[in-house]
Amino acid sequence: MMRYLLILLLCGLQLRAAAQITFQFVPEVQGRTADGLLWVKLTSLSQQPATISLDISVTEKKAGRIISVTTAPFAVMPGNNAIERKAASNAVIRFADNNLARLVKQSSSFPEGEYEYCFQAFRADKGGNRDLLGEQCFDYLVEPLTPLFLIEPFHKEQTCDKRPTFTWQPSMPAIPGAEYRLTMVEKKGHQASQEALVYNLPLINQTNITAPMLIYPANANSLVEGKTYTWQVTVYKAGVILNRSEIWDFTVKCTDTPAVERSEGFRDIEDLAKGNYYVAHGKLCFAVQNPYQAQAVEYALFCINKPDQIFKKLPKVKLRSGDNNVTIDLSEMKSMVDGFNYIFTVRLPNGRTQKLRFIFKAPL
Amino acid sequence: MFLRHATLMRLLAGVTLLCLMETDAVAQVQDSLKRSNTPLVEQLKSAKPGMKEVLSEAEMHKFNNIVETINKRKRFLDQLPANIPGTNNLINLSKSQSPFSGMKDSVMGEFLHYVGNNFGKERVNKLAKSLLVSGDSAGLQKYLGNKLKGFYAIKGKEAFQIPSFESLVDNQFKGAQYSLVRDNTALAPAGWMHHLSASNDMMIMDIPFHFELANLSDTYMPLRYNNLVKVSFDKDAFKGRMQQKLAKYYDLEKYLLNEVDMLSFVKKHFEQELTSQVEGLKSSLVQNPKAMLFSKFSYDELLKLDISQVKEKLMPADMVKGVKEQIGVYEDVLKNRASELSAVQRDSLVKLVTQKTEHLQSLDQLVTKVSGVKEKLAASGLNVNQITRQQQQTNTQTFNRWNQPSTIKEAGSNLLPQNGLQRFFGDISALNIGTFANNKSERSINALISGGLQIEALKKSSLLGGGLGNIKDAGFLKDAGLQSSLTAAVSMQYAQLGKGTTGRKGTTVTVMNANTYSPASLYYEANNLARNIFVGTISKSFSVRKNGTVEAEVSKSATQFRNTASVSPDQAMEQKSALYSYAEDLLQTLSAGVRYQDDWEQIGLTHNAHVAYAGFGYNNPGNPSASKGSLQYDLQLRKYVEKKKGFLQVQVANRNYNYSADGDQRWKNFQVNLQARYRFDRNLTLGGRINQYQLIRKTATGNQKMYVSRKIAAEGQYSSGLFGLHQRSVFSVGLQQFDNVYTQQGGNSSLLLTQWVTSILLQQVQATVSLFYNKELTENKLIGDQLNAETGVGYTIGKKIMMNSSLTYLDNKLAARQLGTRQSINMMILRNCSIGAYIDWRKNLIEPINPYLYGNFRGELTVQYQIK
Repeated sequence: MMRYLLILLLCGLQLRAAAQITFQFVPEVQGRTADGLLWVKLTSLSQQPATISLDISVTEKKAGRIISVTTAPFAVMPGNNAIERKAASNAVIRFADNNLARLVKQSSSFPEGEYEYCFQAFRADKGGNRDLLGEQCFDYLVEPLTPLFLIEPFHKEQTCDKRPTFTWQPSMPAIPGAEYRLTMVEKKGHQASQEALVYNLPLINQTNITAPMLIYPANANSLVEGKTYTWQVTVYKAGVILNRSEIWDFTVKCTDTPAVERSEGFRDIEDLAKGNYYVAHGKLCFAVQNPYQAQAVEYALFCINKPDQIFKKLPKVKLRSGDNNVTIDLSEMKSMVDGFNYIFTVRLPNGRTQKLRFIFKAPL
Repeated sequence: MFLRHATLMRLLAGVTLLCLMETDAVAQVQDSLKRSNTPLVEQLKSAKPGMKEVLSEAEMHKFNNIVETINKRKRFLDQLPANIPGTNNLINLSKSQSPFSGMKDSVMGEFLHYVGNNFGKERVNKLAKSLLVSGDSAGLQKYLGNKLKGFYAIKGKEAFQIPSFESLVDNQFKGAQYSLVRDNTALAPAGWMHHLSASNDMMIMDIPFHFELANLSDTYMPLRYNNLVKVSFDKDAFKGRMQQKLAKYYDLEKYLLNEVDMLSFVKKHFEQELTSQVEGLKSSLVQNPKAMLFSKFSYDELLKLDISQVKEKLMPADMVKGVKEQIGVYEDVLKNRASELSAVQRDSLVKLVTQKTEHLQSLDQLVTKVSGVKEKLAASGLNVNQITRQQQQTNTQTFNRWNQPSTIKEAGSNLLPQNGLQRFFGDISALNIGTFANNKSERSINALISGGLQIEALKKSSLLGGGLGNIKDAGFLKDAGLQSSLTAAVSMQYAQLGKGTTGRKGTTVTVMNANTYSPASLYYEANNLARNIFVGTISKSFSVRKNGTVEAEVSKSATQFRNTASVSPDQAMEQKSALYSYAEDLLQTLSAGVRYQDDWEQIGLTHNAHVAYAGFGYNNPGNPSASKGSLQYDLQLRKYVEKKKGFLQVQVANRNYNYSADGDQRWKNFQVNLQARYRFDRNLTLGGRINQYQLIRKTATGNQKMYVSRKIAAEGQYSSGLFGLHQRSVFSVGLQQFDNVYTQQGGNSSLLLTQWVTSILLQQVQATVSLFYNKELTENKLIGDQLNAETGVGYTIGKKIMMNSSLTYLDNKLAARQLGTRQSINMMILRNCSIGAYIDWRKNLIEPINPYLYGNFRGELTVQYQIK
């Protein structure tokens, strides 16, 4: 609040003599849109309540008069006041006949220009007395803000990083005192990004950011593999949202190298061969007993979908003496096709041949 | 002669197939035949003057095959209930009139019972009457034909009394979750957050609705929107439910008339041909040649084995050799020792020789016949592999067809009794009520709607949609502490009318009417001048090449302030609706864009090119973030290499903004982003990125660089064995440069950002070490040199408790130094219930300079109940 008041003072309170009403207007925030004109705060120095109407006029240095707004009468109490809602919604607006005014009319915001905002408070009681109770003008060079673009993590990116650093392009021109807020939520499967932002609990809702980047907050929980997250940056000043970025998503997915995973378990090859449905996710895993000395496993592959396929350079597998858990990595073999059926024929140490039919699933 | 025979056979095959198929299915078969290069279509064409005639012949016999099959089928009902009045006429008609000609009385009775019970007795009665009056009208025939198809496909008795819905209301609670979060970071917008969410599925008359509820609150800060509700019609579940119901009562392959199994047709033909050929070999020796043949083979084997294999199986070489040797011995005896034989002995030997020789001959003939039939079949283009392939193709097509919404919809309305509400929802493609996102397109509507309704119907290829609701910025938990927004809140209504399917090819027109209003509550207030905004948008999309899509959109807005007085002193009010001034300020209130996306599969390239213009006065409340005052183009190219083992992505965007009335000043935003990644093998992936984003202000006097951000980074993942343990590491190193004219007085900041995470599996415990380090390389410090380190272990206790414990250290040279612990626990306490807790606690070793970035406590507690 202190900061707010300070800025107000800096903006130049051009108090006119004998004024009973003074105005607090922050042109770098409120002077950007036609609506913002109605957010002016009034301070009545009088001890008595009064009914007033407010005339607001905006002129641009080159184009001249742009708009003027006259509010409906409303009551002003001693101390700080805002324009009553009803008086605001019944305000009468006049547009000048020039290019700039037409743009304001269509867009409701002020294009680039040097503006003067003048506020006049008139008494508007039933007696028809229209005393000027206060008048004040503010100057400001309006430069509409450029959009706030996000940089990283890239939209729809798959990242390995569970504590990513966020960066974005600042909204320009920079407004002194403006800060960023970054919100990040988890996005559930059925949700649209905008829904995720309001329905879900913010995992990061960091305010008061001054640089256009945020290192993942140290005390926040790390992101979870496989989940999708939605984020947005808001630039605000003194509690007023000036601009928002687009909404981006990214997914934490680290599939390129195998995760440190617990083994899926090894079943005896004889058991496996009995079943008729085995899915090999990139590798064949089975257990085999070798009562003899260490030896290499003799095996062959046959593709049911492509009977003429020849398999070269099969990975070599050695058996130790005793119980063995064998993993044959098929994922790097170019001849393996995702979804195809294969028959794996292995000659067991006891001389018997065992066949295992499996479907290959590529791990990536 | 042979050619004529083959032609006739193919013609028959064609007609039988075509008879049983709907026109589109016929087209599919024709198509698949063409693709597989069989001469069948050619033969059909040459056999008859044109396909048209064949097709019309097929039309004529459309139901004959169905009727024939139904006649042969076992009756489902032991006893038929009393006849529906007047249906005797139908039964009588069935004797003469199509489509029932030839249908047995008992079958007709069952059929009428099926139609009457499921689709209304009055309807049957009416039909009977109109059939009597109008005879054989096309519409009636179509209706009955469709019902006949359904009747033909029923699975059993249950299909004679299908309920229109299983239960009036069927509620299924999906789960709920409560979370409580405490964050003591200074200036945190919500220090204590509560979140309660629940989801629920409800079927009303088999129409599924999904409910999402969320209550978010902050202990200290009342919010504008604590309670959020979304009710949506679940189109997928509706489709699934209908599919399920259809499959329960009907054999859908039969309904789609796909049981015309081409392979079995060929088999049948082969069997007939073979039987007639083999029967001719009947002799005193081989009484039943067919039985003999099939005692050794199945049809499948005969069809699939080649002729030498058939011969080997029928006449094994050993057997033939043995028999021949025996004949030789007999002949030798007859020749050389004839004088020693009595007449009886000689006769018997001669008979034996003849018998054995004839036996061999007949086997030989059998092989020749089989070979002949097989050759004939092959010559006609119907070899087994081809047929199998075609069969697979047809099956895939049926499966695809069966999953198409239009097929399900058609089958549902034809085969299942539906009430008015169910029929209504059959055409609805989207229905949402409450707080929901409505993302149609960039310029039509793309926003979060509050207190709204959206409904969209798709009938044939026409789209009709509309909705209403409020579009407002802020007021949610994420915005806690923000009291106002420059984006005005509006209450809007829109309507959409379109033709064609969305996405690939179609045109949609959207009109939107919106009025601003002034939200006001204790903690959020934004007075807005009352105005009316009208936006009209035309969106068109069409497909290019195989995978490409072009989307073009033109939109125009108009704004009219409600209490506008003219400048003249008489204060005459101007009109209040923006529609009246819609034609004004055309260029300034126009937004247009074209986007072209395509995918060149063969060279692994995808692209997305976009050009757009928007006037400064373009004001679309349907998309508050729509750009204005801009002219931009952007292009994204992505090239995959080696079956997606790696990719290279380039993204370029050039955006010009003109925010002045005279066009003197412009902002120019230019982005270029290069990214590449390659997976060398299962253990190593390396990637890199270079990007530059800059904003330049162009004035009459020259260009001014306002802001530049550059980054060059390398990243990788590596996994390997480490002393017999499995480890995986993720690392990145990057140089980030910022140059911001405002905050750094023209100077720039350079940061070296490094990150390293290694996980190692030690039996059941996973240990992780992670390091993040940022080094400022220039005088202009942006965030300060910062080190974040964490080392921890993840482990399970029993089967149901998962724990993670870490030690953390943070050191920022400029601002803070903290040492702490982080602990998380997840526990299954019941089958569907889990509890999770997370605590991050830190001790400040020095007092943080900007405490709003360095909180020292965050705790989360979550209780989840989920029904799977």
